[in-house]
Amino acid sequence: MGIIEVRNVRKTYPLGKVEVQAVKGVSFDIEKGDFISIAGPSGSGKSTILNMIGLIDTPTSGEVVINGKPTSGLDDRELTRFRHEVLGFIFQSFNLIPVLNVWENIEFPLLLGKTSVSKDEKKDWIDWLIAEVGLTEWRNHKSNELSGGQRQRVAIARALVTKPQIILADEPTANLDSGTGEQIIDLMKKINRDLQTTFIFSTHDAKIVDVADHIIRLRDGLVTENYRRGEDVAGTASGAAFSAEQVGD
Amino acid sequence: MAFRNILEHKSKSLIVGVLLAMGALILVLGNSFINASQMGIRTMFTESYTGDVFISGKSLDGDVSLFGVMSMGGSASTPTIPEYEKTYELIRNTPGVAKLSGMATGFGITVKDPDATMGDGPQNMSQQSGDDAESGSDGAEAMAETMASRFLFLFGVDAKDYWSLFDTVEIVSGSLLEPGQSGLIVNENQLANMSKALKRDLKVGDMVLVQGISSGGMRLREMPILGTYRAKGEGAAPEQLAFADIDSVRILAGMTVGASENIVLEPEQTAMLSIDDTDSLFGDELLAAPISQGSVFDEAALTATLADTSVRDVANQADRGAWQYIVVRTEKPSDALAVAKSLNETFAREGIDAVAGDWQKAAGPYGQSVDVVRIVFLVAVIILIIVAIIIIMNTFVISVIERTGEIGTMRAMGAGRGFVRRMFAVETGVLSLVFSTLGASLGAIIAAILRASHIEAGNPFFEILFGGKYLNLVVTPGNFAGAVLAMVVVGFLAHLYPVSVALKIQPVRAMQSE
Repeated sequence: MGIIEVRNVRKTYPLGKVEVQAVKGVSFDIEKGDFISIAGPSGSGKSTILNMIGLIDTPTSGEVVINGKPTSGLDDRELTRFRHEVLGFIFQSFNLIPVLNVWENIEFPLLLGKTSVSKDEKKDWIDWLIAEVGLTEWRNHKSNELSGGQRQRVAIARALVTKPQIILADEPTANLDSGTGEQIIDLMKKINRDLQTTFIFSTHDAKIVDVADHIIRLRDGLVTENYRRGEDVAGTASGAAFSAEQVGD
Repeated sequence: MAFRNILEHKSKSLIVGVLLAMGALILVLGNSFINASQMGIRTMFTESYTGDVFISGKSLDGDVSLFGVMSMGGSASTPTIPEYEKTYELIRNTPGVAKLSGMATGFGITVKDPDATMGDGPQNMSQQSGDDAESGSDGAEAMAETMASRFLFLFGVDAKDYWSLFDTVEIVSGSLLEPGQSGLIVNENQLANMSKALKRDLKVGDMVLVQGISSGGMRLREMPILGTYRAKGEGAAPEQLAFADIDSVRILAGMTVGASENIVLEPEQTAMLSIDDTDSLFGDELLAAPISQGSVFDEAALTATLADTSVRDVANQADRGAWQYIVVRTEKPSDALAVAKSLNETFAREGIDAVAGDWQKAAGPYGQSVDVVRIVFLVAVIILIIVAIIIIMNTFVISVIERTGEIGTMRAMGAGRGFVRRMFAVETGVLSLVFSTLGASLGAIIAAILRASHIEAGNPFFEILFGGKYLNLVVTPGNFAGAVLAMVVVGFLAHLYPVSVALKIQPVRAMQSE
């Protein structure tokens, strides 16, 4: 049993008088500690699936099971608690709170729930995270004083602060230059190895796909490929053979 | 975080803050003005005219004030205190009552000579006034001015105890009214006005003819001027106020023996009132009665009857048991309402048809003027508050829309609806508290500047409005706190809808923010 089970999930959006099927019955499992890439062109449904796994959107039908617990039927309070305790988010546009500095932004998720962590323990943990993402000298700066890469590092530290089992990242390198993007990918891979945190990306970025150990490829709301690096995929050669052109639009 | 969010959205915070500050400022200044007005009028009336508690007889036509019955058309006569001696004793023995005195009021006009007032009075008065008035379009105005110069608002007082309740006038010439004395004490300025209007150089010791005006008709009384006074305080005492002995006022106000005599008709005198058909009314008995053909007019008998004025004289005597009001000074002014309540309970228990009230009841239209000003202010404030709430609400909604991504992000990270609700409540609370305190403080400073500027009322209307000769705005801690609290409530009400908009923002919106 995986940490996440996606079972025949469908998502339909009303668009005027017609209904658009964004996801048309998708099933896959994600194992604990996976560094997984959900890749596909725009409109393939990758962000929609990521949102449903992140419990910030609900499937029209089907089920998302996290840690063996079906999530359909959970009320807003339970979903909120689940997001706070089990999940962490990294957004394409960083989504830092503008009025808070680096340290406060990272601390913010800890203020949302009931935490038994002592003040000193919390401080040490946040300081360690800041050091880990390389922002010790920037800890008192606000987000508008940081570069894109620095902001995304803050977002990574913020996603990790509650020690979630799963981190969902929506196009985390889309707003970064390639060099910074690579640094961010390396950082996430390192955390994935060190903390055994499961990382799930929706991405266009071939570099992420290259380092991912589990790849799910979508097209038109359906899974076209689902394989682990090194495993053979039906109809294709080894997953390692994926090229940047195949991943992108 | 709340402070930082307020600073982050400076322009919107400023719009909302300025509105809240303006609201607090208006409330502080408006309330201090109304309080000053009420305090001024209250002090003026309780110290000079009504005492702390005012007792009158009951009237079915309306409330009884110092100015008579406040009825439609104003023609109802003022009731007297029933069983005066007993009522007086009951009041005197009521706990909390320090001093009391009986009194009556009336309206009078000083006239030149008796002939001028005979016949249809108003016409004659206008003729008399017309003598003084200039011709042309200024005539009516001049006549009104002349009438005001001769008008007297008469306080018929019990000289033995009235002055111990009201030490508000100082004698300029002559002396205060002593017990047993008959005459007038008039305002020094009004004496000058009367002299000018009557074309007589009036002074203490002179006799003036006063025509009483009451619902019972017009009566004349010649009275000596015993003295002139000026008001001690700076209250808006009308120059027309004159003090007189109680009997003179009783006569001028129609409170005479004849007026109060209870005439009992015999059954045969009332028999015709019960006849309900004309045949009986003009029946045979009446028609069959012999009609005298000769003259029954006896000139000597008629002259004798007219010459005998003894009955009429008795009927025209003052009704010495008639008092319209009892004014009471309580041991502590703050006890006035409690004493009035206690007295009303006593009256009900003893079956006395009298009613006790505070100065506002006694002040009649003047007392109500404070309420009218307060109601007008309240309505204006309510309209302003509604407008302010709408503007603040719209500003907050714009702010929420701008922060959709931020709220969505918080929700995605595990912030519950309660967190979002609290965040906006704290931001609104801080904004409301800071700006309404600033506004209220500014209001208090403006009030202090206006007070120090000694702005003069200038005319009687503004004297009533200001509650004295000068605008005396005092901001009490309660007034200040009330204004701040009111604006915090306004802020709270204005933030409810924007919060409901914020609570509808789904976590997925975090993914859509740029």
